[in-house]
Amino acid sequence: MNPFEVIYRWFTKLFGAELADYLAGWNCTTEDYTGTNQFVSIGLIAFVVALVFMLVYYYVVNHPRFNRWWSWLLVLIGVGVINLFIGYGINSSNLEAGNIENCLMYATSANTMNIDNTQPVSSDDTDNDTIKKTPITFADKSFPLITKANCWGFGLANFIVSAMWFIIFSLCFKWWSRNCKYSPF
Amino acid sequence: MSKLYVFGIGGTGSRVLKSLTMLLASGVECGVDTIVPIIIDRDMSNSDLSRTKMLIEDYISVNKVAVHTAQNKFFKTNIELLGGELCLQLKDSTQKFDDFIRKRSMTRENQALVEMLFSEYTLGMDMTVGFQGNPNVGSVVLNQFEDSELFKAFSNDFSPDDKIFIISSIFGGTGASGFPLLHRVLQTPKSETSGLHNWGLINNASIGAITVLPYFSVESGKDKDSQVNADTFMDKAKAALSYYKTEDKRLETMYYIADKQVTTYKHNKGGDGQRNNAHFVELAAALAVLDFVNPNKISENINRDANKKIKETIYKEFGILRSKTEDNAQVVSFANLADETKQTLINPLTRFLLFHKYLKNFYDKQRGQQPYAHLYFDKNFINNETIKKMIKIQERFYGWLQEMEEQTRKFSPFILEDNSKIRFLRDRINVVEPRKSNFMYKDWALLDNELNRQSIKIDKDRGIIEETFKPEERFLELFYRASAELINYKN
Repeated sequence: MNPFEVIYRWFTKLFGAELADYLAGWNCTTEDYTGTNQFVSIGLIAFVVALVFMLVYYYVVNHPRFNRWWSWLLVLIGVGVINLFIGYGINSSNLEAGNIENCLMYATSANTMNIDNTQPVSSDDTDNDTIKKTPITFADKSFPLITKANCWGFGLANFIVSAMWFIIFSLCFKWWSRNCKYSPF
Repeated sequence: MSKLYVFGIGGTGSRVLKSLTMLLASGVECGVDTIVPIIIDRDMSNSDLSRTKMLIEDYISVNKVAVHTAQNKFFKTNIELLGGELCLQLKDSTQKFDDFIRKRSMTRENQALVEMLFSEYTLGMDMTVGFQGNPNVGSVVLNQFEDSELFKAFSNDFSPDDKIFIISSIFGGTGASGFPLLHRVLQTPKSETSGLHNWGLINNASIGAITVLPYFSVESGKDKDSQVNADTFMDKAKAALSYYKTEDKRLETMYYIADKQVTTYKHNKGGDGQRNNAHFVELAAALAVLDFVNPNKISENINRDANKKIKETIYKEFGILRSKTEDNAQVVSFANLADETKQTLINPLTRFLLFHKYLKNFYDKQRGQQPYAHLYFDKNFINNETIKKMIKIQERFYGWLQEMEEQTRKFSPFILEDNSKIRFLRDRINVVEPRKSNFMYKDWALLDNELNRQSIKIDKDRGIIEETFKPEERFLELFYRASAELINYKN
């Protein structure tokens, strides 16, 4: 598994398994991860944004009046917010463009809807022979599994991931900064 | 290790020595390694003297730290006290002049002669507060230098390359009488039994002197007992000057300074009440001391023939330039000074004031935030004894600048009150030159940035693992380097 995907998967609860599968490149036809892994591109963006902001904070701005813990926190929030919108924006536009396949987008199996499809579906249908043994699959478009809330959830995950990068970069590279060497601590 | 022995005679002597100490604290270049000040004043309790004494004692404490620094020039010139004493104590402490000359034990004829020469008031005058403008009394009483322990220590300490400088005023009592007297003593041979070792070296030593002509006046008429009359200052000065002609070819360099634009002080007989504000003339007089030992001016200041006899005495005066609006500038700033004086004063004074302003107004706030302080200067660092003394000197330095601003002829090169701007020079002399990369740092952030930069440089220079500076040494080195980087005036 791609390392970026591993990191994002830690936060699956925030944005849901379906969106995670979509981003990982799940293909409904082949039933495998054969599509483009978007975790890599989004993760790289978060990585680069955090790196650039760290470099700008410690080496370009490098200001003796902007070296307090709260100034560093402000930059961290800035990095996080940018990535939140990137994460949200990418998924939201895919969602609106209908790029997410139905098998991920909507419930496709009964157990998903908690329906016991081994029971007769109508009073007339009492003949045991007529009872369908195989699960009924259908797409209930009134209950999408990926919504805007999931996109925001992913944005939040992206916020956290980028903040983590920023913290790691800060701890690694702050020592050579003239004015912000001891920021945030 | 050459030394300059500076004799400061009377109140003016003390005040000029104070100005000299301020200049050395700020890092003005001095052509000798060590200055040895000696104050001659019978009025040991006068405030001018006690202020100078405290200043010099604190300077010496800070200097002990400064000598271990590298590029730093603040407090770098040594000031040394002979036997820990600054004041030359005259053995005789007789209160009244007639007791001193033992008038009562004189014959009637001699008593009559004394009464002809000195007024009744003069004979009964209290000499513990000085000679109150009576050089005729001073010349009699001061004639006991060589008996003092300090004078013996001076003689024993004197080395071949050492020089002597005498500071005195010409219009008072102590200075006017003390200068020719001291000069005569220094050039009079003594027998080996006198206990004054190296006296031969002293006899042939290079001697410079500054005579301060009237530059202030005193209110007269209120104190009926007062012997000091400002109206006589000029006449006394003229009379003394005509006598000083005899010093020609006996001194290497003679400096004169005066100011017609006088400040009038309240008259005080002496003691605690004699506390005159600092004056630009005293600063200029202190510059004369530095001029005399300037290594680039040896051939200009010292003219001796093959037999090491003085060929001629060089006479020097100090002047200021006209201001754009008036011939006689009432407010003197750096723009009114000659290039050489600007070169001497602008950088050290501005750097030291920058150091003071930052320490007073910004250090506490920034200490916890800036890398230069992290690991080196903790909360209690400012309570270090040496640093406390340095802060005290800086406070006095600021007060000294303020006092010069309050005179009739003001010396006001800085905007002292406004602490918000790092560019506090009154003239349009651009000494704070930010590097191109520093364009984003405004005012005091510029100094913080430079302090952080220099802190890294110091670590590189010394090597972090190798022996490092003590915190107080690092502090001086750091602030000197940072201020020197920002303030670098060149003609």
